[in-house]
Amino acid sequence: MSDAELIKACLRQESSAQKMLFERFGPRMLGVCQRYARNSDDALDILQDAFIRIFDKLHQYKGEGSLEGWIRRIVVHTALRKYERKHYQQERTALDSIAEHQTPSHDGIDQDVSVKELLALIHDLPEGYRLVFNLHVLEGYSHDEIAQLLQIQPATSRSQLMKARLLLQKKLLHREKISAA
Amino acid sequence: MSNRYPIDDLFRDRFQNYEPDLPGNAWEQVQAARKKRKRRPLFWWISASIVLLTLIGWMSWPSVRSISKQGETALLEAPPLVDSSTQTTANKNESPATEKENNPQVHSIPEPGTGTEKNPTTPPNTINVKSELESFKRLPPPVASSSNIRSKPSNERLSLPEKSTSTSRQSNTASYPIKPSVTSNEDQLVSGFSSRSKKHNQKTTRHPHNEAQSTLSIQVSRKNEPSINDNTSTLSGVDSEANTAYTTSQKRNNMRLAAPYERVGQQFSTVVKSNQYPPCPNLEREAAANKTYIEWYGGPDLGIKSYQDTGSSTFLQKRRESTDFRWAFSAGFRYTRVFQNGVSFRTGINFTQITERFRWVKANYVQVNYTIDPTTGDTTGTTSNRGTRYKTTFNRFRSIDVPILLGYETGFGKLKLNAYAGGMLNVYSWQRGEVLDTSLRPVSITTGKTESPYQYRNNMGLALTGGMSLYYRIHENWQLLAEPYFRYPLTPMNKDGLTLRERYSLLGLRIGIRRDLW
Repeated sequence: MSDAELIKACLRQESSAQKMLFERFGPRMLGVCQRYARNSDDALDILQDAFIRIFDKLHQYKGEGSLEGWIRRIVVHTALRKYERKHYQQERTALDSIAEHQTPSHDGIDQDVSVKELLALIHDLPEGYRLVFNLHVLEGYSHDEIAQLLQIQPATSRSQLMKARLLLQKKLLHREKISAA
Repeated sequence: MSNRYPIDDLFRDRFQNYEPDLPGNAWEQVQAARKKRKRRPLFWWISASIVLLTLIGWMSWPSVRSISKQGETALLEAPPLVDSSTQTTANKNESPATEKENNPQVHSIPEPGTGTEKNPTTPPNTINVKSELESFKRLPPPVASSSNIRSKPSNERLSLPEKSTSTSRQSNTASYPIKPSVTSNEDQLVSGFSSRSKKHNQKTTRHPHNEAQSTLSIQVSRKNEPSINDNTSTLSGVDSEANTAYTTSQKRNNMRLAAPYERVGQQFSTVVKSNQYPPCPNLEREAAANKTYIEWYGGPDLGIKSYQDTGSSTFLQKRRESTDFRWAFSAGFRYTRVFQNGVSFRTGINFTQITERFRWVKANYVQVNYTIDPTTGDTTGTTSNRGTRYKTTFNRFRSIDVPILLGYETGFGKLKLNAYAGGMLNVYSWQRGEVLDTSLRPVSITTGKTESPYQYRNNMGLALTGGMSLYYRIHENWQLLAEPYFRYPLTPMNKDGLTLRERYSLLGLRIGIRRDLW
C-alpha cells in the first residue's frame, strides 16, 4: 500500500491501516526518539505521544514533502516539548571544590564504533548539548531555527554545539584508550 | 553538511538508517493511550456546561426580578380597582385562562365565600390587592364618598367611550377616560394626596375595618392614577352596590365633602403608621425564613499533609523530607437554601489548588568545564568541579469538587451565622510536578504525561468538611461572607500500587459575597 493510500485509510479510522503506518515508520522514529531521550523508557513515551499526535493531525498533511519527513518533524517536536524546562522547575548546582585539571589528546577518532555506543555517548551529553547536536548534525536544522525551537539565542546554539562535539570527541578518545589498554 | 567535523559525519552515517526494533506491545500501548486521551475532553465539556448553565441562570434571573418589581409598581401606582358589575359582555365571555395570558399582573376579584380569595398559589404581590378589594365588597354602600364620584360613569362628568375596556386590563376592569371637566377640587384633592398616598401604599396593604377608612383607602389608591398627568386616566368601578346607590345629589354632596378629605387622609395615615396593616410584599420577603442565595467565595488555605507507609519507613522519611507545603487557595460559588426552620442546604462548584515545594539534592555532583581554543575549536583543557546539585520543583495539586452541605442558619439584625458540615465530592483532580521514587530520584507526577505508579489519583473521592459562615448584610440584597472551614479527605491521593498513603487536609478561610435570590 502506498503512503497516499495508507493516509486515506488512516483518515477513515481503519485500525489496520493505522497499525500499518505505525509499523512502517515506528522503528525509524524510535531511533530518532532514542537520540533525543535520556533513556529508553523516555524514548518509548515520546514515540507514543508522537504517534497519537500524528493520528490526530493526519488530516493536516497535504502531501507537500515526504510523509516520513512530516512524521519525523512531529516526533522531533514532541521530543523537544518533553524536555522543555518548566517554569515551576528550578535547578542549581553549588560547587565546593576544584578537583583536577586535564588536557585531552588530539588523536584521531576510531571510526569503528557501533550505533549503540554512539547512542550511549549521546545520552551522556547534558540536555542542551544533546538537543542542539541532534537538531543541527542529525536533523539539519540551522542555528537560527534551533534558537527558535528551543527559545535560546543562536550564539548559545553554536556554543552548545561546539561543546557537544568536544565532549563527544573526548569520550570517543577515552573509549579508544580503554580499548587499547 | 561539511566535512570540517569528522565526528558529525560519524554520527550521521551511523544513525542514517538506524531502526531499532519496536517492543512487542508498542502498538497496543499507543492505542490505549489514544483512547484514554480522547475521553479527556468530555470532562472539560461537562465542566464548561455546568459553568455556562449557572451563568445563564444567573443572567436570566434579574429579568424575572425586574418583571416582579414592575408588577409591584403597577399594583401600587396604577388603580387596580375592579368592578364585576362593569364587565363588558365581550370580556365576560373571556375565560380566566385567557385573562391571565393577556395580563398576568391583574387578577380577578375573588367572590366572597367562594374560597378563591384564599388561593395559596396567588403570587404574594397580589394578595393584598385582593384582600383590599374583598374588603370593599363587604362594605355597605357609602353615601358620600369620592369613590362613588369617581367610579360611577356619568354623562355629565365622565364619558364612557364606545370601547372603554382596555384589552390590557382584564375582563373585570372597566376603564373610563376622564374628561378634563372633572371637578377641580377633586383633582386638587388627588394631587394633594398623591405623594402621601404613594408612601402609604408602599407600607400598607391591610384594610381598615370601618367604612370611613375603607372609603379613604379607595381614594388613596386612586391618587396614583396617571390621570393627573394626561387627563385621560382610567378609572375603574369597584363596588356595584355603591354604583347602584349613586345619585346626582350624592354626587353634589360628595363634591362638598371634598374639603375634609385631606383631614381624613391624615387619619388614614395615622392608621397606617399604627401598623394595623400586614407588610407589603417586600417586607414579607424579608421576614420569611425561606431564603435562597447564591454565594461567591475565595480565600487562602493551609495544607496539612499526612503520610502513612507500611512498606518502607526510610522511603517514608525521605519522601516526607523532600516536600513542604507552600501555599493553597480555594474558590467557588454555591447555591444556598435556608428552610423555614433554619436548616440550610448548599451545593455548588469548588476549586482548590495546593502548591508544595519538592527539593531533590544530589551530592558529589561532578561538573566538567572544557576550555576551547576559539580559533581551532580544539579543547585545550578541562576543569572538574565537585559539588551538590539542587533541584526544586513546585508541585501543584488541583481539584474540582461539588460540596453537599447541611447546616443551620440563624441571625439577628444584619448578622447571620451558619454552621454546616457535609461532604465534598471530587469531580476531577490533576497534578503537576515531581516526587521522589523508591530509588530516591525525581519522578514526574504530571497528569497525562506518563503512566507511573507514583502519579496521583484523578478522582479523590469523598472528603468531609465543616465550617462556620458569618454573614453581614451590606445592602438590601448583598451580604459579606467570612468562613473558616476544615476539610479532610477520606481517600488517600496515591494510586493503589504504592504502599505510601498521602492526604492533604485543608484549613482555610473563605471570604466572599452572598446575594439574595428570592
